[in-house]
Amino acid sequence: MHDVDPADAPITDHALGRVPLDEFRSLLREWLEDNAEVLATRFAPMPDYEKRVEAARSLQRMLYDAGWARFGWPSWAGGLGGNALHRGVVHEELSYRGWSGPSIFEHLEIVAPTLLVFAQPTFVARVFPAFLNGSRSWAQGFSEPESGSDLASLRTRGVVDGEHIVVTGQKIWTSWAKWGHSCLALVRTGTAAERHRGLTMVAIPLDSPGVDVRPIRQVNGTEELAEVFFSEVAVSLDHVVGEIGGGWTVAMHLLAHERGTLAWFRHCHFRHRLAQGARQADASEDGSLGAAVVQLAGLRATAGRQLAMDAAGTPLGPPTAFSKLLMTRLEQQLYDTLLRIHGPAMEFGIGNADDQLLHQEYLFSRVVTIYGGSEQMQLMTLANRVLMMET
Amino acid sequence: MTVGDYGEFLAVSREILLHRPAGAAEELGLDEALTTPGSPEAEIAGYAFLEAQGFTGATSSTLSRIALADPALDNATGDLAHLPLAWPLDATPSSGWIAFGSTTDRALVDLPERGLVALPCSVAPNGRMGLVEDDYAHLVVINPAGGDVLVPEATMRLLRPAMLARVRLGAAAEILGAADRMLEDALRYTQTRIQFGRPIATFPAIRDLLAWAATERHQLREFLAYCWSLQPLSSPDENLSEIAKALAGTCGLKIAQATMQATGAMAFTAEYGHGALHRRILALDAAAGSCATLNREIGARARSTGEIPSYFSLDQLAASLS
Repeated sequence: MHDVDPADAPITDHALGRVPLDEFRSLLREWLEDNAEVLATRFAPMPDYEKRVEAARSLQRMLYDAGWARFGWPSWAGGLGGNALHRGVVHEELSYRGWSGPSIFEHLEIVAPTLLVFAQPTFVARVFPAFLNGSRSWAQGFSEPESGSDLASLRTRGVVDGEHIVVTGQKIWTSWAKWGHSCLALVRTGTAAERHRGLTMVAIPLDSPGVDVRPIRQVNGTEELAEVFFSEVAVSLDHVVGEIGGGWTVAMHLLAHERGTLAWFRHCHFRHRLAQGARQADASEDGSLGAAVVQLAGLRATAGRQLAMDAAGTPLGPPTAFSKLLMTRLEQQLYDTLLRIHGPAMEFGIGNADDQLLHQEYLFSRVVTIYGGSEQMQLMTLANRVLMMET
Repeated sequence: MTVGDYGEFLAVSREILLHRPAGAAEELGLDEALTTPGSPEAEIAGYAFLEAQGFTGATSSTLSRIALADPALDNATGDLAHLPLAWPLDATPSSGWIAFGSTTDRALVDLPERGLVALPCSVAPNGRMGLVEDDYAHLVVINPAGGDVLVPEATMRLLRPAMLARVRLGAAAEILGAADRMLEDALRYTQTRIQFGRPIATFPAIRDLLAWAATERHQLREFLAYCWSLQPLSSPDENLSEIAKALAGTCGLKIAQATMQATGAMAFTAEYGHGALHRRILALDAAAGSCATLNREIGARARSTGEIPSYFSLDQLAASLS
């Protein structure tokens, strides 16, 4: 881990980094009002992923140029100061106005916080601004065909050779790799017997010789996931994130964000969808709508407090499994309710673009209890690490 | 007021209630503090005490005291301050009344059109809730005619929303305590119960049940922790307390079911502690709006307004932790 203390995150190098969060929110709202017309074109529902990715890049650039995408990140990484709470506010305000989510920039809340803590500062300073300004995006390479929940059994090999680490193997279920420029991959530099102690995290440029990205056609018609093959891919050692053999610690930090703080960002979209569904529902759905509102409030409190802890530099750890379970259960229950409300248009993805998007999102909601650590793994984590139950 | 203060009050209350349950509220000076309200410390201590009471299964009239802990009611109930407050079941007077605290022959009742009245009451047939001996939650019979008006309707009309909110927050705290105890007991039981030659805590099905129960407890605890950080609690946010109560009922009942399943048939016997806690949760859920009723009301509001309230901002949430 490098000498970057998240507790120092509120860097006051820009006036907005110093104002209270509610004032920051007010100024953001003014900007959103002033730019509502242009933003609407980026917020429009886009079931076509090529168009959606293009709109996401365009929006990210727009937010970056106006400064909003730079708050929440330190100046040495290309940001304007502030912390995760600033990002949480920006995300919430965008979602409230109908934004369906960051798509390829989802990893700004999963990969990016881990890069800041574990990657070499010179490397971060070089790659981070392009991530923030929307010109380059990242993917995360953890799962392999034979290593899903048992992540520590992974076999993609990393061999240190002079100034490089040479990677050979295969990753699968790699989100956003089709459009990604770099992949943060967990590889084995030690022996198989060393299990999680023999792993190293490395940032692999996806345009390197020997990288082959093969998108996976999903049941919802999109190609968000991919297989990524590495054939003797030579990566400069300054791309190693954390220590050689220290990849597990880096992975756990990343997963704490994917399971914990990400819940704040996801719940913003749930709120938008729930409001939209409520406007079209009849009285027979009052009970299920109310139950979803109540569960959303519980998730909001749980995820918001984790985001605040993260902003204060408090390690998140195993309790992030609570957020992951609450987030994914609500997502499935919410889309069950929405399916009843929207009916065939959503069931079959027919009708307007938003109906098609709802259809995609419904099918995607079925898999949220599998990716990012399955529901079974989250329950196991809680039983072992929080409830300390005998095994 | 910070969440830390709440935690300290909770620990002290649990300790005293576990060892000297009778008169614990008096020992802590809580009854007096809540009868002369306006102190944030007294309010937060009251909610923490209720959570501890839920955990220990002790009995007091603190829920009634919390309800009436409004500066505008300072000493209005005088010598009758110790009486339990009878609350309409599910917010509908015609469906019956429930009172929390030791049985008495009189109760305080907030009657729309009349105000706060002291009325004779008696425990309804089966009002002690079946086989379980627990002198805490009673269905009571009240004759709304007669009685002394202690606080006139003109005053109560202004105070009623906050009173309802405090009862909801207090009941939510008590449900959290009872559910917490159920989970602690179930965890202990599953470590000692041997089947197939090993503790049942080692079986994935049991572990999953209790991990889910812990998840419900966690979200309720996190939500209420935010509520306790707000000042002043004497005029709590009505929408927030409504959600807190609905969430508490939902989580409490789920935890009751999961822990009963993990504990097995033993938990279905009248002598085992689970049943009393379960019935308390049912009673607390039923008072001042059950989770089923509140869910429907919240859903209907979402439908008519087309909006989902945020309930609290990230700014407020972060400030509550600092």
